[in-house]
Amino acid sequence: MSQSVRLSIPDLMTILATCAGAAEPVDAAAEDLGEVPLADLGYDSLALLEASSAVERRFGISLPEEEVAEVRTLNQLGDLVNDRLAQVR
Amino acid sequence: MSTAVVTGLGVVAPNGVGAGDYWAATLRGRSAIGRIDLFDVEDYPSRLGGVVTGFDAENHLPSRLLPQTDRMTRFALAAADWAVADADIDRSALTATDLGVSTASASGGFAFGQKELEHLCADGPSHVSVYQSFAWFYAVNSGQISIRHDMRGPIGVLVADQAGGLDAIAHARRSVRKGAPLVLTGGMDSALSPYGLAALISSGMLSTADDPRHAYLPFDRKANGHVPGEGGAILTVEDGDWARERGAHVYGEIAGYAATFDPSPGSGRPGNLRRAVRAALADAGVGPDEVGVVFADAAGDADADRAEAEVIVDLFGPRGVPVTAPKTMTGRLYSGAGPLDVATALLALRDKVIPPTVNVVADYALDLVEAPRPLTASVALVLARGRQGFNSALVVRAP
Repeated sequence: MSQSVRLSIPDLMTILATCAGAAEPVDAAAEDLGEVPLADLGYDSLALLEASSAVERRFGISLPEEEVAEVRTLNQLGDLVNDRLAQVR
Repeated sequence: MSTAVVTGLGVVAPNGVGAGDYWAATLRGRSAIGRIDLFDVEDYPSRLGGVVTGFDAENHLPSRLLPQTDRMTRFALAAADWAVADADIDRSALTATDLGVSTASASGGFAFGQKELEHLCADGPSHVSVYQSFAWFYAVNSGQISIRHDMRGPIGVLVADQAGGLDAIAHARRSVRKGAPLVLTGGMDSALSPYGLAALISSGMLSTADDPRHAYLPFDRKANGHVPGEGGAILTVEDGDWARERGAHVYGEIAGYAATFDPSPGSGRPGNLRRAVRAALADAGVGPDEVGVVFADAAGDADADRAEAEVIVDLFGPRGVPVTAPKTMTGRLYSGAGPLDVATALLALRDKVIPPTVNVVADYALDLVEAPRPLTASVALVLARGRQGFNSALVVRAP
């Protein structure tokens, strides 16, 4: 059985930057970045949709739109994605 | 009735990025028409274009706007920034709902649309960018400018091919008259992508010449179609009283405007450009003798050139007014053409010099300006026509 894939905060930041451009610089330590509202990073709901769509294609998972719509932080996005990744393992 | 004045210019043109560079190049007669190098045009029957060079979107726009913008929207956003900076607007006395945006579009975001349609066809719907939901729409430039500058007053887009750019400026004037202190307006197009060029070629109006000096010859007996270009201009238009009160630098007034539509092809009835010109002059309250220069639509098609020349000669007399077409250096810019001509006319009035038309040996009893010429009058007339019958005429007056 393969090791389960888990996306880290830096992984998610890379995906968001690729899909929707580099984040706004924020005054937060790296370990706190996961709690910074996506809006403060400059990412709107479309950026989130674009990134979640990229994650779906890359990892062959499905992220329900209504759950993606609730996401406000990188930690919440990570939890949603990693839950799905664990289920399909 | 309140006047509408232009207080800021933002230009992205094939022969100059930024109003200053564009104007200097235009006065020098520097043409940017050449072989399109944005993609391989070898197999296309028309291979020449006016391509914007020296524009690096990364230098002008935040990273996050790049994945969601077509080339023409990047031009529009940069030009809007410059028009705002040029106008030196003090936002403290204005609310977001005071500020409007009125642009024209002829093609939408062709290159962006093509890329995503390719994803759709090759890989399926899940591979299409979410930004396709707006990035290729006609209204996208108005929307993006509105968001970037937090302008939430009257926002709209006009679509009338090459005439639309003047219509958008006139609509900005309308918004000012209804009470908006300030409106960003103009037009920006780029259809120089494989799909876009194919669409333009299907009009049957593009030149197939390969020599840039002989490809776009409006009012010349050798006229053989036009060369497509990209770019345009964004202008800051303000209420005249407001601009004066805040001590703004004023380029000139949008003094008159009219638009008409032609009868059905084959009806035998004449076109209505003449009515548009007469009505625009009447709207401005000026007679033909007060007009110091006409910026022609300059289609580069024998029938259309003759029709335009007849209107000019009829109203102004044979060789009765200087006529120019700086667009012979850029190609036709569709929705960007009218606004760029208006910006050029305002610069001409400011510097009291008429910019030249290049490469053309004029016919039709027109006094075509082939080298920069002094401009003494304070009024300029700008003409623009769109495919399938759109005619627009706009009069600008020096402050």
